[in-house]
Amino acid sequence: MMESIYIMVYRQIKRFVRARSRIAGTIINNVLWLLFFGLGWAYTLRGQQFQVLFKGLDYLAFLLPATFATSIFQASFMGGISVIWDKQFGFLKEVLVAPAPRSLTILGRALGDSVVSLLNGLIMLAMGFALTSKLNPLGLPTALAIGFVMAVGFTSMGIAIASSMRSPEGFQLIVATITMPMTLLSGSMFPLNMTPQWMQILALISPLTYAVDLCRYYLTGVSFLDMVYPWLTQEVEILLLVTTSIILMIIAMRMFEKTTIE
Amino acid sequence: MEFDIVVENLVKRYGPVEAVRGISFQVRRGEIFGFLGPNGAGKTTTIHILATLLKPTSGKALVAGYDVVSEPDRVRKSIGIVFQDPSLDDNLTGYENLYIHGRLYGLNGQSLRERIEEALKFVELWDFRDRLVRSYSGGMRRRLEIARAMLHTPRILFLDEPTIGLDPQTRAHIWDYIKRLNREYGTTVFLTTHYMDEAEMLCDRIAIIDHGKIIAMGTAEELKSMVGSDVVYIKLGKPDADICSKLSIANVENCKIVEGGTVALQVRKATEAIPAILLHLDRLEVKVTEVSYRRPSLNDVFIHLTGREMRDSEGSFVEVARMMHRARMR
Ligand SMILES: Nc1ncnc2c1ncn2[C@@H]1O[C@H](COP(=O)(O)OP(=O)(O)OP(=O)(O)O)[C@@H](O)[C@H]1O
Ligand SMILES: [Mg+2]
Repeated sequence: MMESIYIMVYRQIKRFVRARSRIAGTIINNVLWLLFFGLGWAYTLRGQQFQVLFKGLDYLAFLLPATFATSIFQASFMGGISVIWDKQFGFLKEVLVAPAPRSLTILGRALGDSVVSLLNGLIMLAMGFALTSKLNPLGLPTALAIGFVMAVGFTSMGIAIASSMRSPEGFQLIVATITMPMTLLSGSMFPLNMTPQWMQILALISPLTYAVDLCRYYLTGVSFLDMVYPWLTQEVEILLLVTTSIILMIIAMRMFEKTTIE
Repeated sequence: MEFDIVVENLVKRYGPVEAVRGISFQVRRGEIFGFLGPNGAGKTTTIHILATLLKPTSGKALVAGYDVVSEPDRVRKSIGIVFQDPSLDDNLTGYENLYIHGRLYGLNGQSLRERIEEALKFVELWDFRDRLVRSYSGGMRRRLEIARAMLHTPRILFLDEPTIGLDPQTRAHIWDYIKRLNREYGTTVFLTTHYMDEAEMLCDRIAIIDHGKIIAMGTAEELKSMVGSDVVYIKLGKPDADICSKLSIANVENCKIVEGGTVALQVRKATEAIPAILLHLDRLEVKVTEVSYRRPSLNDVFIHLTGREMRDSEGSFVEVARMMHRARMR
């Protein structure tokens, strides 16, 4: 059983290591984002009056832990596209015709892709530690664990959607329409407690919001959700995140079981 | 007699298109059995159903004794398959492709390493094992796919158009691998092709399939004898104008002097008629210097059954389009 999971993790990571241009592209993307967006706002919001807004954090310390989460989210979700590539390039048939249970091969695949997108997030975080001294290294293990749980969830979401699709273009369209609002609503770039209530309610539907808030809490000690919603303790957030990830994973397994080559 | 594949009244519909329209056949243990048919005949559809990748609309199929619909896991363990379209992971090496395959089939450790080496050496790719598949030629990819399909020593091997689009030399090599796999490992082989020479060269028995139906089945010999007579050419020691009257025996349906000392005899089955004719001529003390015969080809059989050529212009256009598609996928 572990066999089928392990070998797909092996394949996804091997492929990632081979795809040097993809790795380079990710790093460049992240650096540019941090430089132009992060530093830009960090300088704009430098004054004392903004400290209140960010509960004592400077903007970079506010932004970076969240970027760790959102970059994992984007990489994970996008990872589903490799299921469609495999469909197009035929490798999917090889997996489907093998006696290894499909639910386990897809689980292995999700875990492999999760490791890859966690690496993505780590690159982001490494730059974060270089740019600001306000991040707490002791929170790192917890943040990584949270990052991994959400990676599994969103990779599964990508796989579930990709399983029923034929063309990468269609998938990209869906990813683009879902990724953007979820990233903006997650409270990664502005504090959610300042937004109108309808927006907060929308934000609370998305598991990414919890992931962002949790990463921020464990890396800086500040949460922007529990002051508005006192029942949203870190424990509740973790519970919600883990549950959603498991549900998404089960959906992905089911969807992949049903995928055909027709 | 033990059957490795038993198919009864198999039907597959894609929406309004009926790709397979009620076929039945059996493949014996250790046999090389081939589906010969033009583009769109339903060959790939049948193979995908037998390999558990597609569900049949109706009908029954047993592979290695297991039902493809209710026991797909057992079927999957018993078969290896080479798909018509490429199915390798281009971004991995040849070795890694086989390694992943082996682990997916429950092999590991030293025995897996040995199997990979044996399979790669079998198709003469051992020296290229650490190169990315992306850099392989079309023929090398095909050979790697064969190595992969045989890696877990399946009891039954499916090959969907194994030599499509390859050069004659590579095709000959692949034919050789298939024959050796069948002989040395006792693997039952089910293959599809639209090449007459391939069907004739490899298959113990052939089913001719057209528009989703099997229109004839048997050994190449049996199929050809459906078309009718073979022609036997006999060159005599010296010309004899009366030869035809001397040759009015049961086996000979028609006799014609071609030129010089050669006669053309129409017979039902050349292999049986020739000894009788020679014996007869020997008794009459007529000297024979040369004997040859021409058989109808499988193409003649297809024309006889359908009134069409197997490879009409439309068919070859489709093939070119498909090969360009394959090329683009690389
Ligand atoms: N996924 C599909 N959806 C709809 N129709 C299909 C599908 N796959 C195959 N068909 C149709 O089913 C028929 C049989 O196709 P199939 O691929 O089995 O033929 P084939 O004998 O393998 O042909 P070829 O020599 O071109 O590979 C064709 O008419 C084809 O257009
Ligand atoms: Mg085909």
